[in-house]
Amino acid sequence: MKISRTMWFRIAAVAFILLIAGLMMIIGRGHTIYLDDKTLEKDGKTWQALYRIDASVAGSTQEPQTLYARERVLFTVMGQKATLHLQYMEAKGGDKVPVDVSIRIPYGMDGVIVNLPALLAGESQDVFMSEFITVPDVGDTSAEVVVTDEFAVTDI
Amino acid sequence: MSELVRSSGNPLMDKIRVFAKSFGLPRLIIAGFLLLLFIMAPFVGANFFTQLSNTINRFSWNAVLVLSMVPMIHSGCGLNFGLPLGIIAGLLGGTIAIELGAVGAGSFWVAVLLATPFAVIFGMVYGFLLNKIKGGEMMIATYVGFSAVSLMCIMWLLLPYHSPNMVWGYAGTGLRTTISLEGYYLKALAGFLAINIGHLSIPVGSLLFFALLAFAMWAFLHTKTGTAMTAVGSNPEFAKAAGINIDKVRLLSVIMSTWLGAVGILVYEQGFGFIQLYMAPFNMALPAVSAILIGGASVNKASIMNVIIGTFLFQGIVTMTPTVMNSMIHMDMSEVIRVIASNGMIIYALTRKSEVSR
Amino acid sequence: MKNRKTGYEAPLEKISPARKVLGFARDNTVPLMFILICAICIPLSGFSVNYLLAEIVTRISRNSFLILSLLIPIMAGMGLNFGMTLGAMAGEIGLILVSDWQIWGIPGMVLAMIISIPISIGLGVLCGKIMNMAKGREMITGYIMNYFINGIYQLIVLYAMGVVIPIIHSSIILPRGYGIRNTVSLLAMRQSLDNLIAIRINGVKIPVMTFVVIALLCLFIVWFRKTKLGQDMRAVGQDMEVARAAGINVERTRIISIVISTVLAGFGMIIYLQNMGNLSTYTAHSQIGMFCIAALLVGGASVDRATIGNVFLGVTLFHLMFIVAPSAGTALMGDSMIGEYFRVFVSYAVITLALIMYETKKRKASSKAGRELALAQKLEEENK
Repeated sequence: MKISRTMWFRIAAVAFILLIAGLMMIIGRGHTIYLDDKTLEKDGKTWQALYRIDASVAGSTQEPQTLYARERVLFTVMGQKATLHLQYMEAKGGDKVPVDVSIRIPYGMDGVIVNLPALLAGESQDVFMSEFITVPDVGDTSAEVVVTDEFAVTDI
Repeated sequence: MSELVRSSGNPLMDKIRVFAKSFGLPRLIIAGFLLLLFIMAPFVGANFFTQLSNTINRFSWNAVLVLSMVPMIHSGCGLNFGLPLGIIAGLLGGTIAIELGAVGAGSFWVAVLLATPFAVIFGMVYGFLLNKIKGGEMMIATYVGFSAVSLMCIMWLLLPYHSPNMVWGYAGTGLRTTISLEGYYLKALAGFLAINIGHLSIPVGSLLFFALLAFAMWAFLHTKTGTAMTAVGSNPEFAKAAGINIDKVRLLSVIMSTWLGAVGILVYEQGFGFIQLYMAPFNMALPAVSAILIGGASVNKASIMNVIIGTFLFQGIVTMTPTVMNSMIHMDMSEVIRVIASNGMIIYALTRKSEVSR
Repeated sequence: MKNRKTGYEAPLEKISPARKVLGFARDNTVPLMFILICAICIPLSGFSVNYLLAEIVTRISRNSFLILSLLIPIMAGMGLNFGMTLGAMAGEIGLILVSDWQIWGIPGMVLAMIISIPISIGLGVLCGKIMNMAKGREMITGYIMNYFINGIYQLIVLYAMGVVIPIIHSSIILPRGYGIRNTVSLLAMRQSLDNLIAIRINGVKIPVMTFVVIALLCLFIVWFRKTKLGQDMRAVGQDMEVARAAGINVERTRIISIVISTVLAGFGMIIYLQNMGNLSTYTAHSQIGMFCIAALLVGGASVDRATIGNVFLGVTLFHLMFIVAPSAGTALMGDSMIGEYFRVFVSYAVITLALIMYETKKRKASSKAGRELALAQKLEEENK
């Protein structure tokens, strides 16, 4: 089958568009990062919650936030890499230690929970990161009426 | 008109194939679908007679509206997408009848009487307009209908109605969106000579009224003016050569269609039980148009049989699909199916070359 | 001046200024009427100039792309493309999927547009083919196609999604387990195109990037008119038989015009919805076709002739009327509902008027051509 020049152009155009689509899917994937300042116990090891952490995420629409022990803050970010700018205070009145960490978020997870004490202790990803699973809202059982035709003649 | 069908040597098969080709594939599909539903009804727990009664009931409501399509199709004005104009005339008749104090079954006839002058005036203006734009009737008719409905929305709010049954209680002026016909002409026709045996209930009165109008239409089409009307629609050059005043005949057909539309909505209301104002007439043209097309009509030829078959098939599908489908697959797809079937039918008709269909 | 078709030469006549003004008024009845309505309603409504300016800028940026998509079918003689809603539905399906896959911001928008392309092409080809089968009735056919494809759209979105088409997030599915909810939040990409480059002048936000995109489309349309395909379309729009005699594949050209329009409508709908931030799954596209066509007609376009100027004039006037009508109604009659019904009525009336003017002009032109032909033949006879 001889492929003419027009065919080549068309195949190239389609391939180009598919490439862009793939690119968009990668760079546009949004994730929600939940930063926890909580004491974590895992595999027998314990990481204590820190007194106070000032956190910001590069490229996120949210402003820098401060969390104390047992608190959680939320950041949204686009793409699979997130750079966290942290300043933590281990105990009240202590020094503020600035740390910059980059984390990779798995593509499939919408929301991830990052345990900051474990992260700052230098642990690996499978220790400090876990998936945030949303429980579907079971409470709303009222039948949502779908209005498909605003001018429908309401009929028996 | 049946196209040439190759002979297969078997006379019965040929006859069937000729019939199938002239009847049209989409209609066969729809008729077959309805038959299937009727057969399945008892198996899914729906009482056959209740379903039949429901279908006949809805038939009685809608038949006159579908009948109103006939004059305009005959005179070549195309499918009457401007049906809302006639409906508005009917609504005016009904609301004014109640406003003037007519009660009980008799108020139906008062409403018809009051709607007539409106229908005639609207028909004259509409017909005059259509005569100026021969060839583009359908699109303009649609938008004339829409403009009229939205204009009336303003009017329903402004016109001096005072009857407490019809106006908003709070403000005291402006008509409500739906007005109950309890105490007025609810079931004025349907209640007359109704047959109620067990699960079967047939509104004989409404059917008789429709039969009367249908017979009158059939008779008219065989008079001199009626045949002139048919000639204008199917062969305008011949009509002109024969000395027929095309514009006058078309105007007459539009007035007839509008008046039947007015009566049709009153018949619908007496069965349904409510007067629906504001945006309700907006989408009433499409079901009537697709009903007559399903019955075998084309853009420029329609018979009374088309009206009867079409309304029955259409209302049958509207009635039966929800019950049967719901019991079977627990998914209420009925509205979507109705939308696809009825609009598909209209597209089918629009894409046929103007032809004569039985 | 010689009429090319009939060969009849009309004697030159001087047109007085009064005739010129009258002629101008007659050709531009609709925009002038609208300017009058706006001139009355704006002071009545009580809105400040700044507020109106801000609203108009938003609406121009939101709607222009959609209205521009109507230009190409008019060029090809297909009339007002009521079937643009098909493209809108394709765009919506793209947005639902992108929203479910959690692709945010501009990449999400671009992805939605890419997804809408094959769907738009499919629907456009279907619509074009059916319109070819109903020559002379393209507009009403496109209008009914709307309802028909809407039924199929509902079949997909209300029944197949969640069941046959996998949807990851149950939060956008109806409680019954299948079918998309009434509204899908597009918060993740809300105004992402608008905000990309936005400047504020005197409190009025101007979404520069969006206007850049709209300008690009205008350039595309201007360029397209000069290409061979564009010229073919204009020839088909002028006279189908002459174009066919010249060797143009008339059917194919008509279908292509509808396909381009549908694809552009898909993109336009996505731009519209990213500005709104919220998708009304089942009703967003229902009125969009009608309002866009009304806006185009208000700008002075007709069924067989529309320019880019018509688009922008139309969107400004139409939406101005749209904004001030309810408040003007309250000021005049004490009921804002009257104003709301009034603007719906005016939208429909404008389309009705334009259609009537088009049809009467068509019949006048054909009867005038007939008379000129007869006259030319008579002259020929006499000269023999």
